[in-house]
Amino acid sequence: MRKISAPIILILSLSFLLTLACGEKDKKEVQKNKTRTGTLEKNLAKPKKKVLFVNSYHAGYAWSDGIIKGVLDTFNIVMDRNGNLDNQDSDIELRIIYMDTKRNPDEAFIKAAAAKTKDIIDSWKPDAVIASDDNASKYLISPYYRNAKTPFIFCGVNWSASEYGFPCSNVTGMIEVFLVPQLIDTMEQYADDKRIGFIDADNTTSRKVAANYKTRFGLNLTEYFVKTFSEWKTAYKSLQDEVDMIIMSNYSGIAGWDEKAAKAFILEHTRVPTGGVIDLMAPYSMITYAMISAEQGEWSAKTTLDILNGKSPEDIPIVTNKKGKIFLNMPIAKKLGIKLPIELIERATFVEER
Amino acid sequence: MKNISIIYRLMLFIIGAFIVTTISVLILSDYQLKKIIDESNNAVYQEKLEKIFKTLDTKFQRLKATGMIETYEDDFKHSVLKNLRRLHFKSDDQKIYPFIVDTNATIVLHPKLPFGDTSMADKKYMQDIMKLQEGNFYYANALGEENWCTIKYFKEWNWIIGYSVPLDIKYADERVFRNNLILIMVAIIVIAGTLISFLITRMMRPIIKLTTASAAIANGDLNHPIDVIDKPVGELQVLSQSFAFMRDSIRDQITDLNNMIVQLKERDERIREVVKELEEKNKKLIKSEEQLQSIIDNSTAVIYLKDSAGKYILINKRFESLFHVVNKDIVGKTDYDLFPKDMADAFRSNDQKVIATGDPLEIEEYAPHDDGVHTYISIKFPLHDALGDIYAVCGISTDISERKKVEDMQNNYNRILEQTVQTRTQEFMDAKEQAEIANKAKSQFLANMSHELRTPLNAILGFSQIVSASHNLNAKDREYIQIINRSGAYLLTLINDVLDMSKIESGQIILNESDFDFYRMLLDVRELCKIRFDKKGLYLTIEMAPEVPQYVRADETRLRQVLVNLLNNAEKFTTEGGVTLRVQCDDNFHESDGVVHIQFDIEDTGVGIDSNKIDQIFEPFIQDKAGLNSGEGTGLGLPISRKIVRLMKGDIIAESKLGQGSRFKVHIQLTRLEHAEVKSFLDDRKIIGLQPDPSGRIARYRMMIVDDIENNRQILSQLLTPMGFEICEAGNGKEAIRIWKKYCAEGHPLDLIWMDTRMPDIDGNEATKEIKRLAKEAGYSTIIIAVSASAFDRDIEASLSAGCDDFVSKPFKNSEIFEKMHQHLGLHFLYEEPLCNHSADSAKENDEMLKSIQALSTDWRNAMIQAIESCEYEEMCSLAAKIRDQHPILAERIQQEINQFDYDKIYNIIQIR
Repeated sequence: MRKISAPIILILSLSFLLTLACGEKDKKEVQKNKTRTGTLEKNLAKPKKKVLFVNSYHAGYAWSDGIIKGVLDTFNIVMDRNGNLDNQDSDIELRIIYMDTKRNPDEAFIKAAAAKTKDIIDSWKPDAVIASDDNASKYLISPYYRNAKTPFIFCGVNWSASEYGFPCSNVTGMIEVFLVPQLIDTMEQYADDKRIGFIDADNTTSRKVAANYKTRFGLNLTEYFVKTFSEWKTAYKSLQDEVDMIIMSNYSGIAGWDEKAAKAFILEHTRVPTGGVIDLMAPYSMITYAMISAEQGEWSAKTTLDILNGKSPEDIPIVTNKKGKIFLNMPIAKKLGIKLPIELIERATFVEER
Repeated sequence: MKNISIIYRLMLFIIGAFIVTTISVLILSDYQLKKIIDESNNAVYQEKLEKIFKTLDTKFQRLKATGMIETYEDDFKHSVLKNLRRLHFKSDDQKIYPFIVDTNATIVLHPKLPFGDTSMADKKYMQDIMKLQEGNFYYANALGEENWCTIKYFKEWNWIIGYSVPLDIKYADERVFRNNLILIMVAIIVIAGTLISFLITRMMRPIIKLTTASAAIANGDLNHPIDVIDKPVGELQVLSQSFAFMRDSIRDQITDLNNMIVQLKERDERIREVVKELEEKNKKLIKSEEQLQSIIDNSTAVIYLKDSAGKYILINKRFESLFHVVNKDIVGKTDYDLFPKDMADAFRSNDQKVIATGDPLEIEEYAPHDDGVHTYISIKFPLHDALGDIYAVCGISTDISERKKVEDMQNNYNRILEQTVQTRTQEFMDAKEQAEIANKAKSQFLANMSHELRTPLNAILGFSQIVSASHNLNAKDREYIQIINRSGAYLLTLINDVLDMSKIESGQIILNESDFDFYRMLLDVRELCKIRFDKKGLYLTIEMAPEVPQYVRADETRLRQVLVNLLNNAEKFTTEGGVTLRVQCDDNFHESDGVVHIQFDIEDTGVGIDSNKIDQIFEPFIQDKAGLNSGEGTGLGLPISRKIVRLMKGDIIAESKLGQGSRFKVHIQLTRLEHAEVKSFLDDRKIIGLQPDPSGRIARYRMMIVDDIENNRQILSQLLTPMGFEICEAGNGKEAIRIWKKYCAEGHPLDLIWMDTRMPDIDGNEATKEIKRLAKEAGYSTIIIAVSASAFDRDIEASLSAGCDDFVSKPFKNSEIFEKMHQHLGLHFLYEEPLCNHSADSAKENDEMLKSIQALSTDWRNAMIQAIESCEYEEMCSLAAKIRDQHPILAERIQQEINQFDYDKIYNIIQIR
């Protein structure tokens, strides 16, 4: 009895201390489990609100994929590689419909896709619908759902929504505008004067874009619409003498466009600041103010949540995008001998980093 | 006193050991803790330093990316230092802070010292920094405070980044923990000491109690309490348990002995009760046995019990008296000791069956009595012992000899009765067979008679029709020919009546329903009967209610036959006035599923019928006085009509009073149709040839007439040859086949064959089969139409089954022959004169005209009747002109009649309602 008493007491004491420590740890664990169970109960008890996302284009199209990412992040929904949605941590049950009208621009196809989407809306009966880009607004919301009961939030609609009859009692949204004023402001700091040049492919869309710049932003543009790469080179060279800064609109549609040759040509011949408003033009412009598609998605999702929480679409004004992503092409800046402010350099993405 | 000293010694030892252990743990823990905190803090501050280092590196990489390092380097350095200040320098007196010096010991970043300060260059710790450039070291600042410092060299800008932490702050946590640990250990020692003292005192208490208890037991106090320790504390627990067990064992043994004594007494008492119960049961058993024996003995049945070996165990009084044995002697005997061997064998066999199967057996058995062998019905069943094994067979046998005798008598009677019935049945079958033979002979006779009568009639009617069509006849001859034709037709009607009656009586008549225009049929009936009425100067009016359907489905031929019969009958017995036929829907029935109930009222102003004889008029072959006086008819018209109407789910009722005319009400059911396929029909007028096709050509058709009687061939040949057909003839089936082959071989197959059915050698049906077979093989198509004087349905069926495409009964009308050619060859004919509207060349025109007549106003009708009666030609023309716009066809027809001065016809037309 004497021999074993000391170790027993020692063990007892240590056990006592360990119990105290473990007890504390267990308490934390229990608390953690309680929190987890609470979330689960909350998810089970509360019926999820149904939101339909109508994409005018197709999966894999970078612009609308960016919008979807903004929506998913805001709703706290995860999408796997196969496009399956995991909404267990969200109060929203999201469904995505692709109208695929970028690859199928035929009007009959677009109308059929809109009618099919309408059938889905009428049968699934979502609490709100987010519609991205013009075709969804033009062929789905405008003909079928203006002033309907279901709220609609559009996004990615170019320049203006009034031609689709928006706003109306159940429709609000975010218009997509290019960040032209911001671009001009920046370029002006390094230009000798205020003459602006515009260069784009020779087609209806490009002319519409130029017309929009002139009417909406009151710009006086020296325009060049070119069909081929060689025409472009001639025009680009001419512009160096004619204007103080150049808007590099878009090279899509210019026959024989050679990326490598274009970059070399620009490095050799650029004498005035050049700028773009789409990320596609970043390798060819000194500075690019590109829109952020996720901004459209985030705004649409936040607005949807406001509407689902009782706010009326009528009380939410239609807005335009504000955020932009800045790309800097440092070799061009170096060629022009322009020293850009450190704040811009720190914030921007260098073209080589893309 | 001795015990207490043991407790104290034990307590001191335990507490001492505990304190030593606790202090050792305390020292060890403090050492380990300090080491952990030191490493942990070093890692924390080194991580912070690493973070700053990484920020610098990132900035430098971005600077490099601009490709303009010289241009932007200062901007970048200022930007990064600005950010570090903002992030790390919260107040002027902060003790933990990062710093940057360049390799010239110039201050780059410091919470208190300005950029470019070199005042610290001669300080020892600055020299240490310059020397070490990377690693950790301790230093004392100007105030003598101990600090720990970690540094790293950023070579791109020749900067040394450092992080300085005062030791007071670095080890503050360790100090707090050590103090707390000492406090906890002291508290544990105090608590443990108290606990141990309490436990030891508690452990010793049972030993003292056991000692006291053992002394008490030793003094004989077995009930003294012993506290048994139920907690596992080793030997002390075993000791107390063993001690208590020992005491309890002694006490239990004493108690068990006392209990055993009590139980023995109780058992003795129970045995006595059982003996008493058994005596009672024995008495009841004896009584029950006596009752059973009494029942067995007084039973009229023979009752016995035999063991499994067949030895008797028990018999009843009846057994004793019948078989002259006594119950007491029977035990151990078998059936072989009492009965003849064959009977004993049967008894034994039956008993064994019961033993083998275990089931009761009911069987007839025989046993010898004084007055002979008696029949018994025995019920034998097994008896089981307590183990369920069969130990005996019980039998109850009832004498059924008397009943058996009665049954035998009954069986004899039944046998005789059956024989009688069989004899009578055979006689009846023979009679039936004879009747059937007679009936068949009668049918055959009728068929033969019909055929034989029709054959000459065919010649009479055929030739008279051909002759009457001739333009070379004088008026007298024409009248004679017409008399021959009418007489022939009348004779044909009589034959048909007799045949119909025969068919009706033998149940052979069936209805052939088809879709037809009811209105047109009524007009036809009217046209058919009107000649007779006109001759006698009688009127015939048909009134039809507007709701009567125009298109119906029924047996048109039979309905027409009934109406013609009734109208002719009415005409026969009327000498003045006339007959009105009213057609309407019967209001007593509602139309359902398209079935319409139609009522016809045929009302005449004739002689009427005696009310006593009114029931007889529907009896066949019976004619009243007036009928006989008329000298016409067979007396079959009305019976046939009634039979036909009843087949149509209707009936005919006659109402009449002598001298006041008669009224026949006919009720039938028809199916209403929205419209009907109206059969084309050919005009009654003379056909003079084939219509050419649109190109103006007339096709050449080849036909063969097959008949064994030359007259009959001649009739058809005379009729068809002038039409332009190529005609050949055959006198029998064999010849017909030969001629058909000949035509085929020449490459001109025959288009149509008129085939008589009854012929010697190969008859018409056989020849048809052969020709059709050969035609199929050769790929030719020849229409074959049977022409027969046999008018029974079975004859028609036989011809159609043989392959004939259609059937014409002799004597035929010329129009029937043309109708068939039109139907099968698609022929169209030229008429002697152009078609005029009254011949109703199209159903449409007829319908149109009928509707127009119904639509005429009463005023118009009255005006026309007045004009007719006054023979006002101009007025009649004017009235016809008035309706021309609305009813052009009717107006044209009336105008034609006006032009012909046939005013009676106009009168009759406008009477239709």
